[in-house]
Amino acid sequence: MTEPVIVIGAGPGGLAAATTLARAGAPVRLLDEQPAAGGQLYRASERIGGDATSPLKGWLGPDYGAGLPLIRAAQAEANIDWRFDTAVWDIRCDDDGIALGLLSGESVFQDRAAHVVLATGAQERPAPFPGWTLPGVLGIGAAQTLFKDAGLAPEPDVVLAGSGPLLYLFAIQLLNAGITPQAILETAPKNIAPSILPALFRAALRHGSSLVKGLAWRRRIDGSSVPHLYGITDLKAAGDGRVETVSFRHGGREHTLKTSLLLVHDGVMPNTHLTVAARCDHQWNDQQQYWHPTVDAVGRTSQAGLWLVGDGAGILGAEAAVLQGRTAGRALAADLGLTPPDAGTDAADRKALDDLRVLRAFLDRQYPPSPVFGAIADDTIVCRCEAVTAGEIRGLARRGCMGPNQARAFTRAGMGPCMGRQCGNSVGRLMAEELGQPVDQVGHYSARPPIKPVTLAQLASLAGKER
Amino acid sequence: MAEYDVCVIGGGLLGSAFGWGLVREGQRCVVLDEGDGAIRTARGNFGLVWLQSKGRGMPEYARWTLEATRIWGGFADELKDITGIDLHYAKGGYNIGADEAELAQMVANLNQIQSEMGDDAYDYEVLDQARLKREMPLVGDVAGATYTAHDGHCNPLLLLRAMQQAFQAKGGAYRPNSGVRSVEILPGGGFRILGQNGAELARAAKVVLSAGHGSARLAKDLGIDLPIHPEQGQVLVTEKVAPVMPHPAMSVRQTDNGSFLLGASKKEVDLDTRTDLETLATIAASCIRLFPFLGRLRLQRAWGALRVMTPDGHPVYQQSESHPGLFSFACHSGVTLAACHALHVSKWVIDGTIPDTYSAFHPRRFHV
Amino acid sequence: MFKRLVDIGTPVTFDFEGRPLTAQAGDSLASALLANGVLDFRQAPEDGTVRGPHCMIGNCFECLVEVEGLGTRQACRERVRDGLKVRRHSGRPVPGEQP
Repeated sequence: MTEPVIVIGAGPGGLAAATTLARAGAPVRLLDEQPAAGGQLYRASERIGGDATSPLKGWLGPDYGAGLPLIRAAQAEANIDWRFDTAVWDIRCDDDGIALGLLSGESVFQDRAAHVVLATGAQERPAPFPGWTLPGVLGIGAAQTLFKDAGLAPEPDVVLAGSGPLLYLFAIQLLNAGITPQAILETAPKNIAPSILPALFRAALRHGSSLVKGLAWRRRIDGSSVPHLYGITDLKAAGDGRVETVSFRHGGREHTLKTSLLLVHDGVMPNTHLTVAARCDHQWNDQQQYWHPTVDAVGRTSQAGLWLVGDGAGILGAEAAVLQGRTAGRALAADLGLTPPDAGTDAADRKALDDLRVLRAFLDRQYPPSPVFGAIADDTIVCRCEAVTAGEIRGLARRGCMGPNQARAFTRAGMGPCMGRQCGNSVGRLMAEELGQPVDQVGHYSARPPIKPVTLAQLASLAGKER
Repeated sequence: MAEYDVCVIGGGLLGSAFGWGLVREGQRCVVLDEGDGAIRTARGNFGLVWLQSKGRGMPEYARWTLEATRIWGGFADELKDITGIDLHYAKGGYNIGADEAELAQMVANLNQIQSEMGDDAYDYEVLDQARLKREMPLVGDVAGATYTAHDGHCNPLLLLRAMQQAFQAKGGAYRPNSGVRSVEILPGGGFRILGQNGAELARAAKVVLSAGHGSARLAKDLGIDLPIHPEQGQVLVTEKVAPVMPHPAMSVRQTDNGSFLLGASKKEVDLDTRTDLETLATIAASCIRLFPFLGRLRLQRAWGALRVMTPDGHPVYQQSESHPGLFSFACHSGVTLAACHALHVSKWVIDGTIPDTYSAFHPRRFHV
Repeated sequence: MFKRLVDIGTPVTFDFEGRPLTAQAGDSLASALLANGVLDFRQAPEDGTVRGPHCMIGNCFECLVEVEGLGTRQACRERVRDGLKVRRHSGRPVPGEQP
């Protein structure tokens, strides 16, 4: 066979899938919109890992260090054709394969393959609260990206708010770098609820090392001089043109802190823009309150030839993404009539993946989407692009608007530049709540091209050139 | 006695206009709409309230459209009074001829329409390149344009929202997630409408079938001749920019929020709302030829909309002869004709008869 | 605000709103501006409020800027280059005057 398999996303899942396919003898075209491999988690791994003098490697910790070997393993495969700075802005699944609109530098072009593996990862769950549109309010993941990518760190007046493993990890990374945040305002309670204990025990049996690591992080934070409050509510940011103060309730009282930077986090969710555009079947994870594509045990989506590995299929973390990438790579290689490499480790990979699912079941219960961000006040903006408030969405639902797509048409929520990536989750949840229906009955936004921005001139350059 | 005077099947631009027009006249009316994932032509509409280029070979349609543009302003004002929603309706529209041959063809079409309309002919202007550039400084090197003050544009999404809201404000019953499986004719007169699960949705003395593409199957079951087929139009929308183009140029218009809409593709497809790059690229290229500055703008969104087309592209308005009180209406110009549908056609339904003046819109015209 | 803890590349000079700013090769436009204390990147067209980077992975489109010769760009997805001329995004730029 000569037609390449296209892998989209050079993070852990995409790297593993590409490496496995290449080892089986399949030509692979590996696309990523970034200028280097690693995805979001292992971002800048080559620069940081390749520089013995960079202190970042030590600050970021051992988990981050797992990225470089993955990249090196893929780089050792001659069958992989690397295409960085290449964004997918259109996808269409037809009987004769999967057509992609690509953007590289300033030029657009089309590509087509019978088999495409998506490894498009996760995004931070949008966390609406009063003042969240102010400059200086960023995601914790966003700040971590700046830390890895540009060596930028928050000034010590930074306030971290929200919940989830990433909140702890980033706090540890800042402490490693000698930065003591002003405060950590955790929306989750301090203690593990009794109802979650069975999930904790199961996780301890299957993946105890991660729990030990998490406990050590927490102990390190609590042993530092950083004020760490649990169970805060009523988070608000205020300021004139940028964040200046953060207020919240804790212990029955309202508190206000002065800050120039508020970093928030309410967990992560699959990045579904591309899979929705490809019209894959999706399902609603009610516990984690996110949509994810339906995939089989090895990563096949509902669209023939379109595969999905990693957090894009449901949040399981980087270690799982690698296992999924290998599993999908082997299954796809077999479909292509090739001999899958390392077939002997397939069972072990699947077992390891199961262990990670058990761990995740505990993490999901301990860190559900917080009501601090989920109970959105009527005057809080949910669609940042078009400045549409939660109250407008609720009002529409009360007047018989039956779902997010009609709400989008009526309010323009989800029609702005981000095309609903920031408000889709909130709008669906708000409408479901108001209509008294489950979210999966209310539905989600459809996605239209372009998935990434192109100019009209770039689009027009394709006239008369379709493959 | 039926619970409703009229049941309107379909909550799109047609159904919402009929519903609004009917409650405006004091009728007890229910509008049955499908769910969020339904195929909705209304969401893909371009937003022109358009006269020139329409009705060649059928002066009744040209007159009907002229009437719509005449009453559209008052229609929009009334909706704003009731709902507070500004439809951003503005009059005046250009049709640009990229080259001399195209412009000559457009002028010939307009001349023919005027001669067919007789006493009802309307004024239009032909602008050469120099004058067009004075009126539209951003236009490229094109031959010229035709212009009428009757043409115009509005925000079609807000139009749908305003009609639905006005309908509800005047006591109309709007029922989403109510796809219709069948319409039963009751022995004593009137109709019983059944949902997809077979349960009764409503009983009404009269029924208006205006469910866009969904009408085809219901009409067939009821023995009504409703020759419609889907025609895909793809539309592109750009990032927002400062207001620089108050009047639409048929295939290009700037919306009230600053985006440019580009359109005018025609493609016969089988209920496929997806876009294809070849068509999108061709639309972009032809619109950039008219307005070169568009090339630098970012594409914000593209979508495929399914127009409801009749064999000659003109509306179909009919009442069942075997079952009086059962009306079926279909057309693609749901924005332009919204004013006529709300203010005139709904009265035909109330009166129980379609005036002879409009008999030309009966589908028997396809069988001569 | 943010401060640079680790250098990532050689100095690069670019122009923001008519004044020269220094960043480092490898910076995105977003990190280049944040390192210079710039938090507000654009004016939102609908409510007129100022906005700045929020997600840093190309999803939220809050970091839009105008780049000479390129038009509207996501600052987190554009790399800084010597001599690049960058302006805040005004929400609704005038098409004829777009950089």
